[in-house]
Amino acid sequence: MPDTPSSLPPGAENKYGRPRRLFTALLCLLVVAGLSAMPLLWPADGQERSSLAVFFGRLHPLFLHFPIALLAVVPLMEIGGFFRRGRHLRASVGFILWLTVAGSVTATVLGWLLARAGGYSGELVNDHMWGGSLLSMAVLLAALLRRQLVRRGPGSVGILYPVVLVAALGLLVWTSHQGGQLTHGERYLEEHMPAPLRRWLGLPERAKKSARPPTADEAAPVGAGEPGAPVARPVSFFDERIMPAFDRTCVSCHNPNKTKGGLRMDGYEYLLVGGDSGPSIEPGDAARSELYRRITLPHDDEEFMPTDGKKPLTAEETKWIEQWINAGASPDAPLSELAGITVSAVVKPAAVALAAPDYHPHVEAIRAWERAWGLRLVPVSQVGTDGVILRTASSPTRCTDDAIAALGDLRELVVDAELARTAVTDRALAEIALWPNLRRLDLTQTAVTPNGVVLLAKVVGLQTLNLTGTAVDEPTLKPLRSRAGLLVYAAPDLEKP
Amino acid sequence: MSSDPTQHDPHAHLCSDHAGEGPTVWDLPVPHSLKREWLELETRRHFLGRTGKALAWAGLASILGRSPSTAFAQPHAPMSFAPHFAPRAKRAIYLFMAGAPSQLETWDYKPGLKDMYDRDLPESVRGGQVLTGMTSSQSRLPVAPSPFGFTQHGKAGHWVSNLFPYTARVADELTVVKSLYTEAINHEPAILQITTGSMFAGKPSIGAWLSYGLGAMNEELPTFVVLTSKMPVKANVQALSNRLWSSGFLSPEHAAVALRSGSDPVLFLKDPEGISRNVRRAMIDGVNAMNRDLYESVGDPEINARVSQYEMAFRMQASVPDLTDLSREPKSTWDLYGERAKEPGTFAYNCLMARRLAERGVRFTQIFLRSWDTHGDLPARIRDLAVDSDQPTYALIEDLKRRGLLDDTLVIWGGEFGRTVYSQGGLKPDNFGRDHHPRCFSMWMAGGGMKRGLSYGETDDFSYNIVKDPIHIRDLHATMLHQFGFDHNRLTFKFQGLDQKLTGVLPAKVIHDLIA
Repeated sequence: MPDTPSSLPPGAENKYGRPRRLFTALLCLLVVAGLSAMPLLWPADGQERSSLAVFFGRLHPLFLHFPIALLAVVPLMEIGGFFRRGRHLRASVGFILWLTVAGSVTATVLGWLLARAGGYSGELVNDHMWGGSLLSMAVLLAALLRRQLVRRGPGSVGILYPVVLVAALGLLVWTSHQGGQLTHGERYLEEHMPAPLRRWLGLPERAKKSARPPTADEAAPVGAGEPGAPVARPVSFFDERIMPAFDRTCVSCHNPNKTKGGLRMDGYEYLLVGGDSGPSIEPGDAARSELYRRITLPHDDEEFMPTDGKKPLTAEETKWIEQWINAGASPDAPLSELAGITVSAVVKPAAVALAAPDYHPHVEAIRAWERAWGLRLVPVSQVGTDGVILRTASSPTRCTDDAIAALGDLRELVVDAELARTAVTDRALAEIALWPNLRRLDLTQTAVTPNGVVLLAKVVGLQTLNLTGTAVDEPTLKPLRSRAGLLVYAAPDLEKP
Repeated sequence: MSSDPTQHDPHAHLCSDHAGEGPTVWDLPVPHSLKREWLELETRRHFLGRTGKALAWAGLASILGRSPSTAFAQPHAPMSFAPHFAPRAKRAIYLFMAGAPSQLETWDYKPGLKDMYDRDLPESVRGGQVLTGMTSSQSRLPVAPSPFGFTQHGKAGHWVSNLFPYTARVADELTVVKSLYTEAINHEPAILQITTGSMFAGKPSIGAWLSYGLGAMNEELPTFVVLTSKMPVKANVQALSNRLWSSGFLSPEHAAVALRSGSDPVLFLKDPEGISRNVRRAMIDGVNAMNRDLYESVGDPEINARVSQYEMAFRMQASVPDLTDLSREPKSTWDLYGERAKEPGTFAYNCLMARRLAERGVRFTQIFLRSWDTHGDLPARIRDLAVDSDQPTYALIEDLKRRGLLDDTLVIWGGEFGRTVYSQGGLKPDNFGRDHHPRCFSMWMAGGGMKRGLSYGETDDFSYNIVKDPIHIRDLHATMLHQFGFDHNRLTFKFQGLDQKLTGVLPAKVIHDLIA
């Protein structure tokens, strides 16, 4: 806080010192009072007010980066000032710090205008506002402390200055993160965070927004020896197609924290409740649904959604929404029931039903196994639950029964085992018979025998079994051949030994 | 180039020829120390080049949405990105009929033309189309019906030309498309367009894109192999060049390795007498060490590609002899492919080789069979070509099917454009020619998740214009990439300021009706 006159040594001020200091003190107090009053007395309450205020408020995102950059530079310059070659930096810190104060207060006021007049509401916005105010106060305090430090020497403020500076930086991170969440959505940072970092931060595993089919653990108990086909819960069209589109396009402005037009779109029920323009959807009639009207307007129409040059829904998504509303806009009608809806081959229900556990959390284990055995486990696709391929083509002879046994828990990820010409025997087949998600198994020209192959009857999801050039006879294959959905190839010795 | 400054001959500036490489820094009449200093300076061009590449890589990673998982490719296969979604095909074999086989003699059956023999092509059908210089001076355009009969085959009931009695046996495996079209009217641009997606040279071919997108299944062999075939007839032969299977702006390791059609598929593959494998290894290690030093000093990424090519060549020394050793093929193989398959370089031999490559995990094998460019003497020449290629084609499909490989191997048969219904030059019932025709042509595909037994698209009664379901080459490429798990709009590489892709900048669509 500003130094009080009594603490000053005599003669340390000019004859205008007292009134000027008083003026500074009053100004600072006024700023602090104003900064506290904004979130305290006039928080963001979801009302839309003067459009002139909104106009200035929208300069907030433009302006706020200046004080951020300036504040980040201050500690760097202070540290640089410790060194002989950086001593000249010290002279500029004060100027920059005061510039930061000005920028920070301006940004906070603009932010308040935006939140107060722009129809924002919710905890996140108000927290962010508090963050801005506190940050401005902290910067102001730091600037005053530094002034004191320069005038009265290092002893005058102790370690208070660096402490306040560090606190201001902490507030900066906290506040900017909230601001980022407001603009880009609350999960913006987490969304693509690598799994290890996510675990380290104690965040939950990446949540699937859709009604996820049961994982292999739930559906097919590993090694429980109960060959029951994995039962998939029907996947709802809304969860699988509509909600992901909303999440990407709409929810960043229509959520509990930023409720543009009074509308929330972060859940099915809010669509029925609607916003200022009434309910968003009219089940059974897309043409009369406000939501559908808004997303199908010409892109330059004032009412077109999403606004502000955000990426619009794709033609396919728009089509889905139309068909979904026309079909009654049910939140849980299964994917398959909405017949006639063009479903791209990317997400075939069948592929969803037999999903393997996500391989992403197992990357370390996969690498370790690859290094140990000189073989490969390659992802089928970028979709984690599509599983991995056990690939041996570069050096088939390295793939032994031991390599198979060493897979351990990774066996759950394998959907395709390319074991042609490898060294595997019946012993490996005893292991493979317990792989819960295996769909394709190639045993071309291996030493497996009927004794091992009969065990494969346990692999319920198996779709292709290749026994070309093995010593497996037709009687052994008979039960497998008669199984629906399983292709068995077993042409006899095609290559001379 | 005299690139080693320590060993440099101080008098080198007296001779500026350097084996045709042109002058270098060393040729300048300035003090030796200054030259060294220059050499160590990184030029702006090097810097920009390297930074650009680095940015391209970073951009690429984000474009492809490369998730941490896909990084678990081993260090020597850094390009193994995972597909965007679960693929239906792991590999492809493209039987490329260079020169453009006539659709009227092969897959587009037009029985009504019998009655139109030697009548003029109606102007309404031609629709004022500009003809090539080869037929534009003809006084008339007489319709030439095909002299070959067609028979329906299989449950699918495909009409198959009697030229292909063997292929007809696997008719139910085929997805026949009769409505492909292109803009190119001459061979070189047309072949380039169908192999690389662009009429202009310098773009990566399909196999290079797949290699770039998917990486190798078998690191002992190239991901992309080209086999050129001996021709049964040699007339109007189109030149083949490696721009048809180049990697374009992608890293050179994605270019095809073309196996020669002679008895030695890769020249100089065997080590000379007295050179042991260890000596060879030591030599390559030495060369690679020097290349890495060079890379350190000039930073050209092409040098790394060279290093990986040396490694690939070394591995091929071990893998290619096993690949081409047909001595363990059983009698059933020769029954299937025919005795011609024993002669290296024939189409039959190449088909057998394609199966062996597929078994070993080569992603993309492209077999070229040339001389389908039948401007004259068409019936006799097309018969010779059919006799040469029909049985091996059938054998390849049948063999893949028996071995359980057809499900995930996409086989494609076709040329670069179609041929005209009217005769080029004189017309006799059993002797005529056909000119180039880009407005429609036929192809077929098998395996790889395509809809078996489907006949797709229709042309008019003259096989001149498409009347139903036209497919541009771009759409074919988009569909092929889709079968390999790629969204053709997202398999890109930043080059010359553009996110380059196989399907180019014009809109292309996946033909979902072709897919099972």
